[in-house]
Order: sequence, then C-alpha cells, then structure tokens
Amino acid sequence: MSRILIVDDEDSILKALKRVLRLAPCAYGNKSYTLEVFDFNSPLAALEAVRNEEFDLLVSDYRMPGMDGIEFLKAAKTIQPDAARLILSGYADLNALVRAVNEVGIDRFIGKPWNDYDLMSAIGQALAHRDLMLENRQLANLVRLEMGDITPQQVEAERLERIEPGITEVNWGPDGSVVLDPEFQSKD
Amino acid sequence: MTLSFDHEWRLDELLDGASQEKIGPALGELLGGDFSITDDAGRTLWGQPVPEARREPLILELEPVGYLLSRTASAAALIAARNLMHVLLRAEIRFKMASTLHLESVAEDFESLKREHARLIESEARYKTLSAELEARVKKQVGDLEERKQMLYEAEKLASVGQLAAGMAHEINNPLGFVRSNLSTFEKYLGKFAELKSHPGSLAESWQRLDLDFILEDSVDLLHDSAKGMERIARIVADLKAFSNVDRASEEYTDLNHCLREAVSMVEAQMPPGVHFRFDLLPLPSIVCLPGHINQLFFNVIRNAVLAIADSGRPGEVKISSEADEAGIHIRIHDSGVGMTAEQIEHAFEPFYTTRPVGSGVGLGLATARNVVQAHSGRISLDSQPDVGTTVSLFFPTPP
Repeated sequence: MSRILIVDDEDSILKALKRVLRLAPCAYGNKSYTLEVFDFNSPLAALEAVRNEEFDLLVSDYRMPGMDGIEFLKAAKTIQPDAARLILSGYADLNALVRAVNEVGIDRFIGKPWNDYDLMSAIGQALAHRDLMLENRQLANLVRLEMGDITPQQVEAERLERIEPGITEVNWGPDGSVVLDPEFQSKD
Repeated sequence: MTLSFDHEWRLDELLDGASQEKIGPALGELLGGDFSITDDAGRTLWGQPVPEARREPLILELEPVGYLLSRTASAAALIAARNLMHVLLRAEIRFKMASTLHLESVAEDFESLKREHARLIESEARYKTLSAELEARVKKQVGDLEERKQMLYEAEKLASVGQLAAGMAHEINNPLGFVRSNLSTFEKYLGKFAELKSHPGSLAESWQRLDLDFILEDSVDLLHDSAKGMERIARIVADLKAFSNVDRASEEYTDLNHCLREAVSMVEAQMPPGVHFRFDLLPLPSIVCLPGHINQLFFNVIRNAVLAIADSGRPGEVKISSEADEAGIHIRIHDSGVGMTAEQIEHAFEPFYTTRPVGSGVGLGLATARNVVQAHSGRISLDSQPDVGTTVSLFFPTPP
C-alpha cells in the first residue's frame, strides 16, 4: 500500500483526484501499486501530517493561499527526504519551475488540466523510482558491509538519521550541556 | 588714390587754380606789380614771365619744383616772397599727405569691412545648413524615442495582458482539470453499470458486489461538481469579456461602481494571500466614458494596492469607496501596504518609473491611469506614508 498525500486549495480538485486514484490502476513496469490517498486543502495541515506520518509520494498544487507548493514541498523534503514529489498546477511561471526543480527536486511537473492516464503513469513512475532508489541504497549498504567499508553501527545510524533527522548529532552547549531544542543552539 | 609719402609733388598739384587766383594777385601787389610763377619745366602757372625778370627757385626737397619771377621786385623782396611760398607749399603738402592718409585708411577700413561682410555671409550660410542638419537629426531622434516609447508601452500592455492571462489560466485550468478528470471517471463508472448486464447472479447481489450504491452517489456528486466547474469557467470568460470590452469599444453610460467591481474580480484572480477588500460604494450617477479604459485604470490602481500589501509582508485591506456630489464622482482606493516615500510620490506618474525589480513591470501602470483620467477630464492624486499605506483619489466630473 503506497501512501499518497495530495494538497490543493480546491476541494473539487481533491475529489476528482481521489476518484482517479481510487479507480485507475497504478502500475509501472511489472509493478503495480495500490494507493491510499490522504487529501488536504491547506498546505499547513498537510505539513503537520507530513511531520507525523510517513508518505511515499507528495502531490501539491503550486498556487495556494498561505504557502505555495514549492515552499510546502521544500519543508516536507527536510522532514521526509525520501518521499517522491510532484507538482500539479494550472500555472507556474519559469521562475517557479526553476525553483521547483532546483530547490525541491520534483520528480514531475503536471499541468492542469491533467490527463488521467498521464497522471497515473507519472505517479507510478515516481513510486517505482523511489522504490529503486531505496533498494539501491540498501544493496549498496549491504555491499559496503561485506567489503568492510562501513560498520553495522553506521548503517543503523543512517537509518535512524533518516527517520529522525539530526538524532545522531549531539549539540554541545558552551557549558557542557546537551542542547536538544534547535532553537537554543548557538548559531556560529 | 595711390599717393604715397615718397611722392614727388609737382607745383601744379600743390597750387590749384583757386589758390593761384588768391596767391598771384597778392604776391604781385607785394612785389611791385610784375610777378609770375612757372613750374620746373618752365610752364607758366601765373602771370606773364618776361625774359629779363629775376628768378628765384622754389625748392621743397632737393630739386626746384618751380620758380618765382619778377622784374620789379628787389632781390630781398623776391627771397622773402619765396620763403613765404615755401611755408605755404609745405603746409599744402602736409595737408595733402594727411588727407591722403585719411582717405587711404578709410578705404582700408571699407575694404576690410567688405571682406568681413563676405566672411559673415559665408559663415551664416554654413550655420544655416548646420542648423538645418541638426534640426533634422533632432527630429529623427525624437521620432526614434517616440517609437521606442511606444514600443515599450506596447510591451507593458502585453506584459499586463500576460499577467492577466496567467491569472486567468490558473483560474480556468483548475475547474477544467477536475471537470475533465471527472468526466473520464464518469465514463469508467458507466462501464461498471454496463458490467451489471453480464454479471452472473441476482441483480441485487451484483449491485452490491460492484459497489454501485457508492458509484451512483459519487456520479451525482461528480456531475454536480463538474457543472459547477463549467459555470465557473463561463463566469471567468464573461468577466474577461466585460473587462476588456471586446464587444463595446465606444463611449457609453456607465456606473463606475460596476467598473470597480469588475476590476476587483480581475485582480482577485491573481491575488496574493492576506489581502482583503472592503467596499464602501454609494450610489453614483452614470457618466459617459470608455468602460474598457476605465476598467484598465481601476485594475492598475487596485493591483498596485494589492501588490503594496503583498510587499509589506503582512495581511492588509484594500478599502474602496465612492461617492458623488454636485461637482462629480469621488473614488478613493486605500491600501494598508508599504506606502511610498515623498520621492516616489513625486515620480509615481512618470512613465517607466518603477520600484519593482526588472521584469515585473516597466512602470506604466499609473502613467496609463493618469492618461485615462485626463481623457475623461478627471483628476488623480496620491497620498501616501511609508509603512502606513497609500490612498489614490480619483475625481470624475459629472455634467451639470
């Protein structure tokens, strides 16, 4: 079951997308995915969900009140760097596209009005690409373990770091205390 | 007149007829009646020379220029007469020389004046052609500038049309997106209903298995959504048409409140978050105007207001009020945005003055606005304080 989060400020869009994702088969190559869809009409609420749950794919509109799609995906990327990211938008100027690619590293930009088939294949591709990436990383770690380039402890530390970014670092205060809240870290 | 200083004066040059008439009788009287004057060649100038007369030369330089002859006078008297003549002749020479000099210098002055005059005529002609050339060049450059200005103006118009189109694209593509998707979903739903026919088992059972309750319910919802989406697109297109006035380009009676609302609905299409509108519109008399231009004017001013709030980075309000008195219609558009400095206000109406970064407008919004207002014999003024906000006041006269 792949968990997909969609954000759009328009409820009709969310409803239409949910219908498509529920009905159409999502497959790429010989892999097929069943999708579980979580929809949000506000990027702030969606970001809250990203903080608490893990998602495989994030789909965002670009123009939304409060926070645009790029800001949302950028924030979500720092929390869940492994989730695939798509932008689904009716309009974005070149500036926005450049930001989307350079700052966020989106997998796909899909224009509105979208074509259901294109949308599904883009989602399938993004999910397959993500799977491949994770698998590659795991295999590479296995090889490194065998070669002795890396210790099991390091592999575990990396895994923990992915789940909770920053957990493997200790921030020492000037008086020898350990600073947990990033707000109180000395900025140097 | 080429008498120079080394000219050898002849006696007849020095003593013309008139002076001979004066001198001859006087000297004749003094010298005892018999008296005559000859020049150096022996020609007689005055009197009747007699051969036995006493002769006295008149020597001015080295050579004698003439002779005084008298038979009756004594030698001493003749010498005295000669000395007298010397004095007279020398005075005459000095006078002649001075007058020659004077004439020469006058002639010289005249010549140089003539030369100066010719030179002036020539240089005047030169300056005339130069000025004609310059005028042509200035004209050409002014023409170039006008053309460039026009081009920039067109570019700005295109840019604002582009911005408008971008906002419109977003507005239209959203409903278009879900309507299209919904319709293709609906096709699949119908496919499910078609399956019902070939499905084995009882109707109720198949209905249950295919989850047709949900599909039926969702289909209604889907069609309802789609219809609403189409309505939205229709409204946007109608707004755009009304705004651009594609179907009425001429002057007509218009309610400016209506124009204000249309312009606001255009701006809303591309509005940044955190901006609210408040209307305080009192009933206005209709005035004769070009609605397309008026819409453009309001759109420019209201868009400025919205951008000023967006620039301030805090939520704000655009307050639009209108009222009419016997003189005309007053419209005020106030925003609580970044405001303007005194210098910015001073330049605000100048074409191509902008505080925005390159690429986001070339600074013709207010210039266009002022042109439109002036074309309707109205007035536009700005009142602003940095960090407090800006008020744009518009006035349109109504015919009495």
